[in-house]
Amino acid sequence: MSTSRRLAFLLEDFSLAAPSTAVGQPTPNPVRSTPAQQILDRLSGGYPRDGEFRRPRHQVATVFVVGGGGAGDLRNRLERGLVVSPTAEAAVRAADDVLIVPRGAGAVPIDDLTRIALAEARPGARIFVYGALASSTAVALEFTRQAAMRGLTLIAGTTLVTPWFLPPHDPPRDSALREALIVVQGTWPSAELYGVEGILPIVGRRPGGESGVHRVRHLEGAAVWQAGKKEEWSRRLLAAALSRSHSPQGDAIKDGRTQDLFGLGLVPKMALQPRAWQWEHTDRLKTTVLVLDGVVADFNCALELGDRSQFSAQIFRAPAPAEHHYTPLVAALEDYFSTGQRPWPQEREWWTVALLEIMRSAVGRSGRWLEVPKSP
Amino acid sequence: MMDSTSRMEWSRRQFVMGAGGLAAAATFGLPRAMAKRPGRRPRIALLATEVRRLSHAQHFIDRFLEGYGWQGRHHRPDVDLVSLYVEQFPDGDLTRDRVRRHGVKLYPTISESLTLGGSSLAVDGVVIIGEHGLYARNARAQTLYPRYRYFQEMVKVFESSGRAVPVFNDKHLSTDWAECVTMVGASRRLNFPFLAGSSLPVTWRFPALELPWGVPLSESVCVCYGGVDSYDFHGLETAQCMSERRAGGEAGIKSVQALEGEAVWGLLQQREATRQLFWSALSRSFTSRGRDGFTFSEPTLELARRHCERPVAYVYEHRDGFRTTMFLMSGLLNDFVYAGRREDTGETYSCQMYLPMPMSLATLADFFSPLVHHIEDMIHSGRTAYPIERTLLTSGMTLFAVESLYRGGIQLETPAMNVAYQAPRESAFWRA
Repeated sequence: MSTSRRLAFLLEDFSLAAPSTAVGQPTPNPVRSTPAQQILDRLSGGYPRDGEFRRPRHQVATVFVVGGGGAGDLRNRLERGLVVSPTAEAAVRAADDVLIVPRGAGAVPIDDLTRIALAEARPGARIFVYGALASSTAVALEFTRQAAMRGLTLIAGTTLVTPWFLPPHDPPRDSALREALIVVQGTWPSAELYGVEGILPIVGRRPGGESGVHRVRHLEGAAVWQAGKKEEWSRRLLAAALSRSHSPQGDAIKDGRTQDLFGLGLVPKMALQPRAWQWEHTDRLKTTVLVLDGVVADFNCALELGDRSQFSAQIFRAPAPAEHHYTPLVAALEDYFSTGQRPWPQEREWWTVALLEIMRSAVGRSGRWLEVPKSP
Repeated sequence: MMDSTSRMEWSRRQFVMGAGGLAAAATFGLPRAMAKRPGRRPRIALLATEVRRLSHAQHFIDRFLEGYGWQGRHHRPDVDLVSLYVEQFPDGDLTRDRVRRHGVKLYPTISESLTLGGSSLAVDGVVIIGEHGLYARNARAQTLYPRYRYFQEMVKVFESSGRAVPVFNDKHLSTDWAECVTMVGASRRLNFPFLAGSSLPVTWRFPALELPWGVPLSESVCVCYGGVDSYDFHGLETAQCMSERRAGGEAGIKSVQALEGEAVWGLLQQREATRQLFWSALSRSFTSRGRDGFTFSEPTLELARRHCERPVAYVYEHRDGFRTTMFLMSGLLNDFVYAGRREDTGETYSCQMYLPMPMSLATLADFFSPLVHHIEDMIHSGRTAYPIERTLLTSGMTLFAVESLYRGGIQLETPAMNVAYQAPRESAFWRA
């Protein structure tokens, strides 16, 4: 039987859920509410799981909001016993474990809050960072070393690391992969985080797991499509991924038609300022993250397996305000706080930071392959 | 005009007269009505009330003409939609656009659309989409969509041509039980595969629950939203595609009672077993409303009352003692959720029949894709994915509940709904 633990939340913002992005409009940023609210409401009030409403397993004891952003919305959570702390340090000291949730998608970590958590947390504490672990590989390394030194466990991730797929089948495990592709939308760097967090857990299921990425290339505009024509990324996989979408834009919005966006050659015409990120893994797997605003408004992926067969799926996100795709993440976090066991590999968190870092440095150097630093 | 009582009496006699044929319907793998002709793609006709953005006909027509995402590719149907009959042309009509862009021909009559302007049946399948459009409503607030009229005109062509082809009818068969029975009887008499119903039984499920076939189930509950003689049918199909898998198969409906307002909350308070299934189903909802200011919260009867101003419940006693309760809870949720209880262990099964609904998370109503897929399969194979008796029963469950509501919520005995059938072992829901 697991023991209930007291949790501290260090938040950058706690506002009530924003209205859902209206379908039918271009979706520059598909973030629909604050992750802080989604996670805190589940951990403090319970949530539906496996056909019943489950009460919280842990107690949200303290909350600290940077600059008090959205703290007013916390008022009606006080009845659940949580205390708003004046400082991050006080919040951490009053709890067993810590959650750090930045504003938005989590692509811009708040390193200072993580530093406080690592410095102030009790030995044995479990820390979770929503989004990327740190703003750079150097900082990630610093965090990892400090956590190890102090006997803390530190993990990071978004809802995309505990995904629901449509169709409802997990990607193949232990199948050789030739190529992978994911289609996401949004602004830099949120969309890129979605792409990285969406595809890494999927390709990490191949034999031997993630071998590492040795170089990355950024393409934008017409260069994206030219590279596709030259088969530098797989257009077959793009067609497969788009076939899983429930939200084609363009004529579908105008009159509901179910046209073949890829087959009719509409994708390059619809995509607003497309950007592509190509990764070459050390085991020769090729992965492409396509950020395509104006084509579809959901996340879809496709894989070419070793035997040339395909897997494709939509990475499902449930409607606002409840956004129940947060439920599997929170369930994993509850287990993590109970057991201290990592729910996913530490190396993947490092790769998320490393890839975002190299992608950041590739902006402005489109078309050039950039070497990725080796994993520590 | 007959009053409702005499009409139902008559309905019952009609049903009993046709019961021999319907009893045989337990074998829903029907004799092939269409011999597949090598080297020629099957041609189909679609009969619709109106075609505008997001009308049911638009969803079907565009999937036949444009294709649709299916199993990881954009699938082009292996049938050709060659003729249309459309009755109404509202503002925003898309009929003529589709005719112009795809070369499909629009005919002025049903007969001509089926004969392609000739003298005998010239298509290999018929799709009837009698949903949406301006049609009269009766005193029971039923919209009198012309599905039966379309069907009967189609049957005349079948009879005069000496052959029949597979038919799909969108949603419930008719608002009149006798007409429903007549439609199913005609499919038996003329020996054509007949598929009908809602997209709910064939859409995605969260989780992808395949209820064990032959499970000793004691009760089914569906909680959903929408109006009477409208989404209630979808809710009933949601429940029935699960209930029919119980041990012994479907036995038919003994009685129907529709409740609204306070009586619904009273039912939930009185019937603990039903209430537990209600909560279990609601736990599968993605849209169940909670307390103001929260993303969601633990559902309570108090919250449900606050959010749902006009609850409606249909309560059915089946002939084998099984019970179905369907709750229309507009304001509380915007999806279709199911729960059923296993009699021997008390185990509860629950899931959401997920509709990627336009204007919410989607731009296309892709829950129509599996229906179109099953129509294609039927036209090619001459077999239906699930028995027409399901839709006959859910049509009756809908219209008798509407009748109960009209009569102030009285319980109606329904000997007419002596519709017994076996469900196929494999559900036809979307999972690939």
